Parts: sequence; C-alpha cells; structure tokens
Amino acid sequence: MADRFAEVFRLRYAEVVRLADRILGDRAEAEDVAQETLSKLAEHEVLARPDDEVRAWLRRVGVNASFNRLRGRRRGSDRMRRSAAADRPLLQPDTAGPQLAQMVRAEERDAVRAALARLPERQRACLLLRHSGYHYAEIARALGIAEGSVGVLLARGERAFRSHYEQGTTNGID
Amino acid sequence: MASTRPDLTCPDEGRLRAHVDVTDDTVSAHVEACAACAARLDDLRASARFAARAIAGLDHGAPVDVDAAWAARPRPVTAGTSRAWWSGTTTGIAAAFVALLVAALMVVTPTGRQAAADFLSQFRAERLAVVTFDPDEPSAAMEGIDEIAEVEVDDEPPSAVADLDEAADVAGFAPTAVSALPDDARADQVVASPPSTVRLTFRSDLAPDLPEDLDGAKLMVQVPGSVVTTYALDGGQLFVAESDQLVVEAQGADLADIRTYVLSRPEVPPSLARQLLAIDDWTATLPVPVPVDSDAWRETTIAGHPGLVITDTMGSGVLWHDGERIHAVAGTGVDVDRLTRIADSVGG
Repeated sequence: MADRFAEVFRLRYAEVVRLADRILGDRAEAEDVAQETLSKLAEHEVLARPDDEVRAWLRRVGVNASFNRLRGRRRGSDRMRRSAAADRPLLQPDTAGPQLAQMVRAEERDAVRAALARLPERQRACLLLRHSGYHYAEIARALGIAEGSVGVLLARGERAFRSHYEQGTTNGID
Repeated sequence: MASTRPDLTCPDEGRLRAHVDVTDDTVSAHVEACAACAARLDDLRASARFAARAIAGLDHGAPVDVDAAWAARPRPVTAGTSRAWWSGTTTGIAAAFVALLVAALMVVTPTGRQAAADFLSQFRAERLAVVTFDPDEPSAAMEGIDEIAEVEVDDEPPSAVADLDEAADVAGFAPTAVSALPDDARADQVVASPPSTVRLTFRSDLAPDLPEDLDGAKLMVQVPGSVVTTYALDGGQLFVAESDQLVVEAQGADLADIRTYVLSRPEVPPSLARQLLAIDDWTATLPVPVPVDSDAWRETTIAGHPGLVITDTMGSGVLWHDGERIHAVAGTGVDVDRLTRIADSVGG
C-alpha cells in the first residue's frame, strides 16, 4: 500500500495544488491543502480503489479543505481587501509599467475570488472544477451529485458569479 | 421523406447549459425554432465565457515541485502503528481538541424551545457523554453541514506561545495550574487557540428538503479558546488541555425541529444519530466522539467531577468538565492511574 500511496502522490499532488491554488490564491496554502489531502488519503480505504475513484476523492476532499480554509481566514470583504493590499507590490518609478500591469492583474484576481466567495459552496466548486477542465461526470463524482445537476449548478453559478463580479468592481469593493 | 420536428418543450436550464459544452442535437433544433431559448442560450454562453476567462486568470503558473513535497510530506507520529485518536503534532492536538468540540456540536445541533417569536436559546455544555463513530469518516457530519447550511467560520489558527500568561491572553482565560506533574515532565510547548465563532444559516436553496420553518434559521456556535501544554516525558509525552465554556445560540426556528432534521440527514450515520437522540439532557451534554475501534472507555471522577477515561493502542486520555471548563489530560507512555493523579491535581 505504501507503493500505491507514493504512486498516487507523485501523480496527483500537483493537480491538487493547482486546484487548491485556484480557490485560495495562495500557493503555499494550496501546498498545505494538498499535503493535508494526500495525508488523509494515505490512511483511507479509497486508496485501494481504481484510479478514477481515487482522483474523484482527492478532488472532493481537496476542494472541501480549500473552502474550509477560505472560510476560516475570511473575515468579510475587509479581510480580503487587507490581504490584497498586503500582497500588492509597491510601485517603483523605473518599473512602473510592468508593476502597474501586475497590480491590475492582482486586483482582478482578488475581484474574481471575492465574487466566487459569495457563491453557495456547491456552485462555487462546480464552477472551479468545470473551468479547470473537468467533465460533467467527473464533477458529479467529485461532488457526490447527479450528473444532470451539474448543468443547473453551472448555469446558476456562472450567472451569479458574473453579477457579483460586476457588482463588486462597480462598487469598488475589490 | 420524414423531417425532424423540433421538440416544442423548452429545455430546462441545466440541459441548456450542458448544451453550451456538449452539443445536444435536440436542444439545437429547439433553439432554432424558439427565440426565447435562443436568448437564454446566448446569456448562458456569455456567462460561461466570462467565468472561464476569469477563473483561468487565477493561475499563477509557477511549477509544482513534487519531489520536495514528497520529501516534506507529514509522517505518522509513530511509524508502523495507528495514530491515537487524540494525538498528533503538538500544534495539531490543539486544533484537534477544538475541532473535536466543534464536530460534536455540529452533529448534536443543540435543542430547546422557542420562548418568543425572536427567541434566543442556548446550549451550555455541563457534562460529557461518549458517542462512537467510524474513524474512516470522521468529518462526514461536518461536510454534510455544508449541504444544508451556509457555514461561516470566524477564527484564528492555534499558535505557539511563550508561557501560560501569554496563553491566557490568546485563549481569553487563565489556564488552571497542575500541581502534581511527574518528576520527569519537561515543558515542551504551549499552544493557545483564541475563541472563535461558527455561524450556520440553514437555507432551502442548499437543501431542497429543508422544512419551510427552518429556512433562514441560524445557529451561532461560540467555540471556546483553549490551551494545550505539551510535556516531554522519559519514554513518552504528556498533554494537558483546557477549554473554556461552549455556548450555542439559535435564532429563528424551533431547535427541537432543527435537531430532528439534522439528525435525520444521510450524512449523519444512523448509529451516531441513535446515540445522540438517546442523550436525555442534550441541552447540557457535550458528546465526545470516540472511534468504535478504541480499546475502551469508562466513566470516572476527577476532583469530584464526572469524567471519562479513553484508552487506545497509542495511549490514554482523561476528560472532565469541572462546571466551568473542559479539561483533558492525555499521554503516551503514561498509564491511566498516573494520568488520573495528574488530572486530580489540576487546580489543586
């Protein structure tokens, strides 16, 4: 079983990191989530199951762990705003152009995360998984829902996400 | 030659959205003949494109170093043996201790009766009771809560502090002194967790089967601050933990109904639900989850207060409620009699 765990770890670790990173926006924290998720797998019976089941389990547990962390560190939009401001590089006169572009990108990412954070959990997970390249059947398996529900969650989630994003940027929340 | 007539029934939103990703010929034929659905489809496509671009922009693109991650992966406390239910890293036990309490509350949604239209009912833990659970699914109930309620957690992680004075500042209470530590005990680390709040809002859009009168009901779980002191022993470790009062407040619904609904959910294993429903005085009883494969547990008395002794393959722990705070003394390489003597000396 130790060999099996090593195999899955090497195959899936980066995937879990990237998924968590999309949710958390913090690579170091995403790596923590991936370690935590893989460490749960080491002692879980699903490890003995076929690869697609293990992968679905990792996605579900990784997504849940990421959202748990997001909720834990979130203290409303003020907290997110402070965090965004702290991460933002100071402009230097000789590199103002590239830094300005970097700052704009950082602000856009913050706005996207803030809009995502306002979605109900399942809609948010569904959006992130779908736009990370997962198919409907994979999403359904990862979230434990019927495949026919994926389209509904996506439709509602994407509409609400766009609305929250536009509302946030218009109000200057992010 | 027969021609294919478009389906006159407008597809539901989910099917229309799925058509954005994978062409559905039936939907295509319908949309060509239905202006309303064509407009809905355009709107869904626009929102999908918008979300795709936005979410793609979240990537940092930095490579992931899998070799370094493999080398840095967490190892079990003791190789080749199972991990004790209460053990972990010295910082982990504080989190585990708090998580244990939170998990217990999440499962046993506190109960009471609404005294007024805008009522506030309270649960206060005054005693402990063992409930067993399957260790392979320790977080099933927590995960299930997300399915029926919006969960907001307002907390800060545990942190290592210099001494008990600093721990008091973080936890919000002065930890009780232990007067009978073993001679070989050497203070290793003090970890303190500040009080935090978990708010649950039950919502029918998350749980279609949520009873109407529970829609919008709220539970506020005041997770207490806690302090865990770790001591190194010759051939073992000792943990002394203390947690402040647990309080749960509920608003906007009949708590008995909330409890009945939560415990009927499929995420709560039937055996666990049965045990929780069997607790008579549940407005004042904190369930202590113990794995079904734990070697043994029994009731005990610590300094005149009822408590529990729990033993597994890795060690033992003693938990008790002194009427004001919850205490735990646990250890590896320490027998139950010794742990009980230490526990009896807390506050002595």
